[in-house]
Amino acid sequence: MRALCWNGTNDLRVETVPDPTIVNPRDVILKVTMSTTCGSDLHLIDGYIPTMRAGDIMGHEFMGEIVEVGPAVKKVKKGQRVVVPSFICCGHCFYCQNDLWSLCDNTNPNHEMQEPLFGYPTAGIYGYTHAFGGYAGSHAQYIRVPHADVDCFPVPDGVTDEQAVFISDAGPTGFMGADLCSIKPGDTVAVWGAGGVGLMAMQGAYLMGAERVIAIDRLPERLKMAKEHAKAEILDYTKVDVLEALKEMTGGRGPDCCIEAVGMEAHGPGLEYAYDRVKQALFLESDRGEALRQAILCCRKGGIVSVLGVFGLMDKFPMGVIMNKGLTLRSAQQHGQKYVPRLLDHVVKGELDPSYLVTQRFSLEEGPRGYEMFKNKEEGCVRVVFTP
Amino acid sequence: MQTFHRVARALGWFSVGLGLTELLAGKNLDRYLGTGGHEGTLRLFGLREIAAGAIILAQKEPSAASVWSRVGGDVMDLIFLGKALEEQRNGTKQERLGVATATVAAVTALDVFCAWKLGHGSKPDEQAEEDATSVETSVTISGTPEELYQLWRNPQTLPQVMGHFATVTAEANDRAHWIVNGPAKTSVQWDSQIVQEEPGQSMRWYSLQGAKIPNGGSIRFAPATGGRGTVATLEIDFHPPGGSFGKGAVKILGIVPQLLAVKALRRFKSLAEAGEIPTLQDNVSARTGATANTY
Repeated sequence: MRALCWNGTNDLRVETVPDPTIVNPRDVILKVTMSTTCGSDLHLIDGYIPTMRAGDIMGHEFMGEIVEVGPAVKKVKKGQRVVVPSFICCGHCFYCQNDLWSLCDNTNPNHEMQEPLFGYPTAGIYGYTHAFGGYAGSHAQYIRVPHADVDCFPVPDGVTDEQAVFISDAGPTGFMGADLCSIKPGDTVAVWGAGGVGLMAMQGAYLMGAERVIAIDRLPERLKMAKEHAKAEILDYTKVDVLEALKEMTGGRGPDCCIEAVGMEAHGPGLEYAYDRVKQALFLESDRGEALRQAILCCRKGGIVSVLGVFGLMDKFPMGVIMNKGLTLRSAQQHGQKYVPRLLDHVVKGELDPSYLVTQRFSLEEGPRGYEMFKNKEEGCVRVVFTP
Repeated sequence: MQTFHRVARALGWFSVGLGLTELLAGKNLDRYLGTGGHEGTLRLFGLREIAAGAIILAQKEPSAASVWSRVGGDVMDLIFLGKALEEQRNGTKQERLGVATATVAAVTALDVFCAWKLGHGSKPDEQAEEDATSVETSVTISGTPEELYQLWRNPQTLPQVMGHFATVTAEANDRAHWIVNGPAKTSVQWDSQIVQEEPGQSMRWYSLQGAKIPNGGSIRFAPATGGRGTVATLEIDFHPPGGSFGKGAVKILGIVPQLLAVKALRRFKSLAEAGEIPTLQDNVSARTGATANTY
């Protein structure tokens, strides 16, 4: 089959690779019908996250049609159209049973690569380094999906591929970010980053009862999306002092909840950004944490900061601000299986339509070009979808 | 112990230095010592010295054997010098040969002492650490001790749980055959037998007579606190026969007891909780042989 493969920093190629096969009894093989770029892939392409290997198939946000089922698969069937969350989960361990899906104990065959770093291993992910399992990704014609009965969610008729594909990652990650804020009626929620995840967090925040949602970004087309599709008030951080602006908008209190949907390659206008960028270039630091620092600074006293961006190591972490303002910091990789049924339900009821995130559509063969546009945010690019 | 590793390394550098001198200035050395047109022999000795030095320096903790190999070289040198001394009639050159012989004899004494110390001189606690091939690790698994015990006892379980390191075949109710394959078609096989059993709680097994690397292990199941399932504790011991053969065999086969035990227990947990062990078999991302990037 054809697949989009990582070959080193900024080196993606479409290659012919072996087809996936059913190995474990709960596996299925999916014919990928749509797969999308995620901001977290950029950290792999830019070489900031270790344990990638040449030839790795990229992609972890996808949907498809089941074409082959293992002998122990009971619920899902051949021919079904399904969406699959990015994390592979067994459904039976303590973590899955407690809705902490991305922490599943039983799906990372390379746990020994993670334990020295994290203390305890996480679940495996498709197409996201060998430390996270070494599973082949979804930017391919076919993909092997383990624990299919737990991880494949049939897409109702009437829900399009463009709507369903984002319920694999951007949707559940964004909704989880809002959920981690324990939003109370009347709350104001500020969201850093108006990419796919940030936009879904904004919509999730409203659906969970927020009174006001404020989007912070610098790209006009993304701020426009936040305003038009997510009904957010918008701030361009290159034009205003974000702390002052947020204070003014909230009567001097500050937002009750701050969601960070940017991650380790944040941009910023100031000296701090330059400092981070230089350190990162010299491999002295892996993360640029400008957006996270700002979220911590801007959050009201006693508020909640919900971190969705992907981070490795970050220095100059403002622990004193968190401590003195009594903030609650919450974070996780997406516990997707908890949110997918709810999200599909919102789409069916017409309360959510993530399809507006699709700004470019490419064939798999044009994968490298798609990522280049996505990375450089060319032509208003928010999300590229591939149709293999 | 460390002191003698340092001495060994110094001897290694001495080897390289002397070797280079013999190799590159063989002709001058031959003339100076008056060894009578044996520059070819000196050059060969030079190569030998360099090799001996390189072997010592390549090891983080130089082994006794690598220093003993220097002793072998020293003996060759002494024989060569002794013969030259016997044949030499020129007084100045006799004196020079005498100095050289005395120096080699002194270095030989140091080599012998260092090699002997490396082989025998370690303190008991350090020695124990070096031989530490007994590990114990625990993991919490959903289910009761009885259920997990039953699963462990199932003849199909051990072959799956140990699949990352050995091909295990259940032979009789309490016996199993193990094959561990190393690189370049090396392999070690043994049979094991359950030697102690408390149904629902624990069991212990041991390799039978004839195992090249005698080994054993045990598994215990105890209820976790707060109704969180069962704590399973796996213990694995390797008792390689004395000397470097056994330890070498364990190393060559790639047996890292700690990793082996942690992985075996994780695999058992996945089998118990999820019904299957996560695997990339035939489906690994990346090209064969590609290595992982780092920061």
